[in-house]
Amino acid sequence: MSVQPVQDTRFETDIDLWSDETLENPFPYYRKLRDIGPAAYMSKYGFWFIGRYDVVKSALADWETFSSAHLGGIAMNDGTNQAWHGSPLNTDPPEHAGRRKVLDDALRPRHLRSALPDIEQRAEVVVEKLLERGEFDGVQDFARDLPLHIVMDLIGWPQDGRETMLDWADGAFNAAGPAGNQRMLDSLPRLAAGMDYLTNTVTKDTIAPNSFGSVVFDAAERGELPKELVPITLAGYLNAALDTTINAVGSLLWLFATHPDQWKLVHEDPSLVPSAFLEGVRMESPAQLFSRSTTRDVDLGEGCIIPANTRVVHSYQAANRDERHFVDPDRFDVTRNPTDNLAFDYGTHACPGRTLATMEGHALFTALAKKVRSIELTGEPTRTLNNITRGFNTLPLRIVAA
Amino acid sequence: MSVGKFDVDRGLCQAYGVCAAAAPDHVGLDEEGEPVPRDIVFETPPPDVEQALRSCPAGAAKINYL
Repeated sequence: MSVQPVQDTRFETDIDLWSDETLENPFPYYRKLRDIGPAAYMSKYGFWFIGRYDVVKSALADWETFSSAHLGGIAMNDGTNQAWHGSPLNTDPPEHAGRRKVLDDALRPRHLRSALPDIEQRAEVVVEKLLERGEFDGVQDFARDLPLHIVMDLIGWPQDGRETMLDWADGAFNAAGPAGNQRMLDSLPRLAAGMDYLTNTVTKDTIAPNSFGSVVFDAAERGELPKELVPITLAGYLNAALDTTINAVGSLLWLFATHPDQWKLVHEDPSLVPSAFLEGVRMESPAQLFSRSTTRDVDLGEGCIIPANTRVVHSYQAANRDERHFVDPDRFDVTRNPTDNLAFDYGTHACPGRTLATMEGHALFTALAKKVRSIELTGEPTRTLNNITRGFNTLPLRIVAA
Repeated sequence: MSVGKFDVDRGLCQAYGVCAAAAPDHVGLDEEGEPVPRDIVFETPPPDVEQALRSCPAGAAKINYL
């Protein structure tokens, strides 16, 4: 039985991570939170928060202490955790392995090889078309292209419903926010609509053969996956294949537009694209945070103890900007090559789609690097504020050919 | 002093490819994206090998001491 320690008010804060102001520019708040201590207690919600790189990384590695299943799951409210029950996200080892294998059987690099030529070719075509136009939107016309076309085909969704998926994906991530948050409440109909689609419109007859989605249905046929978990397993593709990749590409494009010296380096040496892609997700992490739940009291040192049975919000973004780990963390440096950044998570739940997202990013920015001399903003970009994700909604740009 | 080289625990490896991004002199990727250690021997792990060890999300990167 755990003894509830006296609440040490040294670690208490009233910072609200999900207010419009914080979501617009979270970085000063993340710094304050990291400086409070190894963890901070968010009194507005009753959650603890961890944002220092070494604390977040240790927590992600220690799934037994920082569980993804205990207290329902990794979303910040019970309703959404129930909707996500059975997903690999909300499952601990040993059951996690079986849930996760269904995704790995489609997304491991050996399974993606055959898609690479199409991805690279489409990226070249997109860049050529945008060069002809000169001015375009970096999100609507560039970042959304590969996810909405090639990747939807790879997943095998029926044509019916594809146009609404972006809206559902945005809703699904917002639904993971804290209970009572207005953005969370407003998103629930979209979460429901997405789940209805995955249950009733996407079936083994309507999913394309030899697609990522068909791998899910095959696993259910073989008894490797309980049939009732097919929709929530497919949901991984609906959410993660869209917003996260679109945000990564859009944000990196914005970083280049606002740091022409860095674009010059990449344009002159396209072999920097892989390093730049990692630096982009470090600076602007597409998924900002999720949560875990403690299965025991955790002593983080400095007198900071998180009680057992407590939800702890961990921020990949806060960790990725921690000056304790990254030198000059707010500097966008395409030569940094931050292979240890935490944007793709770490340990058991590390992103299964990392290789595909990286392939898309490399293809798009290599095509740009070879053909584009300059990238400039032509107006104010706008953000979509979301409880979990960070990215742009519009990004007005002009590109000039090399 | 013993010598070592970069190696991969195949049971843990998930082919994220991060080791090759961190330490390309010590490990490459084959056409299936699986790591191929280059058998470069060292007495003390160089910085890029240490980075690869830290970076592998699956904890599969290791040093094989000979």
